[in-house]
Amino acid sequence: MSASISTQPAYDVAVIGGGLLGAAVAYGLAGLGLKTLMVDEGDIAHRAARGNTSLVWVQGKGHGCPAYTAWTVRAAEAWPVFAAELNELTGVDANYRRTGGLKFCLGDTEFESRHRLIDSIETESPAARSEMLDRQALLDIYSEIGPQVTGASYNPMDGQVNSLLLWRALHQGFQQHNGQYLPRHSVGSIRQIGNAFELVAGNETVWAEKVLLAAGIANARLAAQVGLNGGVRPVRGQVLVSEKLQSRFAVPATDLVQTDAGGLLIGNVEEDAGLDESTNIRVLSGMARRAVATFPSLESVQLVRSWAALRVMTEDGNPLYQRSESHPGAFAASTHSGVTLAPLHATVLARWIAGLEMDPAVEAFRPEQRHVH
Amino acid sequence: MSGDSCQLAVIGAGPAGLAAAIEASAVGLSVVVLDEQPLPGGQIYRSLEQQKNGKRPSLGSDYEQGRPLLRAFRDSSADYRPLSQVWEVTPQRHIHYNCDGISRCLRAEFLIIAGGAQERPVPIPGWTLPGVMTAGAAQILLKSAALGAPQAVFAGSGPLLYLVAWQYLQAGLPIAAILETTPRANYLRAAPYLPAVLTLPSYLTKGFSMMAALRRAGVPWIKGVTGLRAEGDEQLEAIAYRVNGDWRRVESDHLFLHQGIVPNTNLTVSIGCHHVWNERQTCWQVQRDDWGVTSVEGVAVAGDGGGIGGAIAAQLQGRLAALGAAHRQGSLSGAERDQRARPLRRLLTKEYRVRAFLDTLYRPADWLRRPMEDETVVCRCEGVTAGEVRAAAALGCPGPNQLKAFTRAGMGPCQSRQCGLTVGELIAETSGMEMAETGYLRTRPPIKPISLGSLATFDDS
Amino acid sequence: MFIDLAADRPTVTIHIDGLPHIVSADLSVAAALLSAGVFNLRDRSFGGAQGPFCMMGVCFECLCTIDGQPNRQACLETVSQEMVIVTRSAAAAEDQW
Repeated sequence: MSASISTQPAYDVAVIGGGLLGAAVAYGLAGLGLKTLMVDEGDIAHRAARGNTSLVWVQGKGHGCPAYTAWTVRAAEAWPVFAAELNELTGVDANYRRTGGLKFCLGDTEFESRHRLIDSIETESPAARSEMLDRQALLDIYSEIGPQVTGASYNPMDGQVNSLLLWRALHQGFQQHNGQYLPRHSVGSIRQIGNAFELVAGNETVWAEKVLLAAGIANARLAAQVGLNGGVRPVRGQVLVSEKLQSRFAVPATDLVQTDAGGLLIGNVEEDAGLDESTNIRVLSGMARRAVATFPSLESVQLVRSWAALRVMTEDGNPLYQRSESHPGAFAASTHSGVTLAPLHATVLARWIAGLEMDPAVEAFRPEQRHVH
Repeated sequence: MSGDSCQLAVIGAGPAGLAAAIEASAVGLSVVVLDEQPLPGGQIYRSLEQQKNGKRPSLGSDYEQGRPLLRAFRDSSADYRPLSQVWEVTPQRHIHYNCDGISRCLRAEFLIIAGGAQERPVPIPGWTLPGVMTAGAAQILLKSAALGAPQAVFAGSGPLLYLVAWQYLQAGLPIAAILETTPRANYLRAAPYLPAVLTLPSYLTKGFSMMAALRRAGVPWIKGVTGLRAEGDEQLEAIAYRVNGDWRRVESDHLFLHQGIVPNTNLTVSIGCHHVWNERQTCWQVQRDDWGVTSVEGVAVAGDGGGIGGAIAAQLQGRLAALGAAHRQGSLSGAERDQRARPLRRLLTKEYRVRAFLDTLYRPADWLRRPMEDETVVCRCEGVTAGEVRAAAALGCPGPNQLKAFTRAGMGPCQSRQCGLTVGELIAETSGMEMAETGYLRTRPPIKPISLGSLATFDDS
Repeated sequence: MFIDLAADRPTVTIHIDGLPHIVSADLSVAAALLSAGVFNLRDRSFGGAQGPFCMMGVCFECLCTIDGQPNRQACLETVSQEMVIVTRSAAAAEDQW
């Protein structure tokens, strides 16, 4: 059978995956005027996008990889404009706030260990601006911290956003820019035929000039089909959600965030659990103990639900942006930080895929660039 | 805390749970019954044990029928734990529950979930105003608190609505109106099933005599209602209703809504049991075999919690599930189990004969499952309207779980008990999918709230 | 307005948002609130709905602080002598949880 296609493929780019990464890039691509298709799974899917805690986070990122620290700082700086533009276009306000952020330390060992990590990153990347707050300084922010709290690391660039509204806004903006959304279709195979890619997803076959794999942990399955390496594994994150409370936690922490709706997101333990998405009572109980140790007054707060989600983790924890040599036009992207990096995914990464820019910052995250030091 | 365990745990103390506990204890199993209410009886026999003395209005003969069951339960060896709220059950049948503010763990070799049903939501504009409640709530207030609201309006469809109105009549409470929403077309559709009901004449005679009593008392009964709105500023003041194309109004401080009951599925969903869409009853229900066993090993469901069948069917299912459990534990041989089950199954078949008629006649109207007005609140906990749900569905949400992420519908403390069905219906309507395709919300533990402190001190070693 | 249909029942005194009320001793807290004419339990800012709705533990709209324990389902608890009940609308007004 002839390998050439006489007609133009229907789409300029097919983005596989409608999570935070896929939706951000697709939104960017559609905004650039490219005819974009976003293919997504069904309602019951692993969906890391539903499993984050709304943090736009700089501190602690990129230890041993200054390029990632710089990338994260750049994302944080881009957030206000990105949020405003998205709101302007869609009318959806994801309520991004740069509040500063904390990571609490209980006991002396934790404090020292965190101190060392923060110092190490600051040495490599002074622009990261994280600092340690001792207990006394922390009391100025939160007067009710428990006796075991020895301090926290703090970064003024950290903040939070309503990540579910962000996700919704990206989808809406994508469609407003004439993007096509195809849910409930899991991509089974990708073949390159001539200058186009053929994707078979359930009962649909679609053709696109380029394809981006942004399918979270499913990238592991799809990547080999286009000469890329999977390079991701699932990590299970578990979170406890409280009833709505009067607004009291203005500065978010890695394991305690008060959403704009009022509920507290508590915990955020991550562990290797294969594909097991169920919650684990011992883990949840441990998270509850830590929360009560951090803020004893939380003891009487009611939890209304918990969830566990499989998040994406690359081998070294840094983002992975890949361009295929054997299948030109095929790309893959994976990251743990779909929320924080959204502005760059919608702009820099989209332009990279569109072929408009070869930003060296993006190139730093290609697999060939790893293990440099 | 060292292992608290039993051979059979029963969750729920309504007719199914009580019957299961009695049957299983009689066969020699160690049984623990966890009940979130303070007294046994579930909803239908609520407070029956308390109705010993004093002049109380008649609540009907069906209610009184619960007495022997309650006595047999109290006489049995089952360990009854009231005010115990189950918030998680693991697939290994570790039951995590709250009692007295402390979180505990009970391990069961076999579990029968008899959590019963809840009223189907009746989403109309203004239904969140104080003064609007369910007909079931009116009945609970009558039964347990001897409180009644004079000049209330009853609106909706289904046997419970007329029963509560009749109970109000017996209590001497004047009723402003009964606004019936049973679609006229349903009468014709239900007619073919009428002969089967005639084999159980007590159903019909009871129903007819109640309706006749209400008519004799001159209660305004408006049928064929095709629109409802609750009106008022801070509180309910009036109810607007449409009949024959015209809108009319009746003033009242109280509106009791009802359009049938649906199984409580949050617990079974959270365990991971497989559920199916029941098109005739327009609700989700857990999939189970002839012994009530679900897709999760050692977990069975009995009673309305597995599919609406009524109180007698609930008792029969409870007994069958207990027999199944006893056989699995080795207390009964297969032959003994089947022999005891035979008469129960015969009686169950009789009970099911009425269902087709009732389900078809009282199938909720489309406009009450899929609110047409965009401003109608769908998720009561979060205040999400029908318009917002439709807009998110139009973005292509593949189902209620994604839609929950986009709108917050289902994120509140009731965990989609009141909005899940409506959200599914609106997704189906907007996307053109069938209800079976849209799927259901994946609820997670805790399925009832639990304090951070009690989770922190939880120890299931 | 809900009226009492059974006479001569034992009563208790409870406190609702700082005011004492005499109610029948066998009532659930939610029923007691209704009999005392308290229909509006929740501050609108916390969500859409406002008062006891189902009376059976399904709707979670009857949440109150009972004897210092916040967010108890009032329909699942029975009144007791000198019980202190604070509704969410009152608690919100005082800027507590």
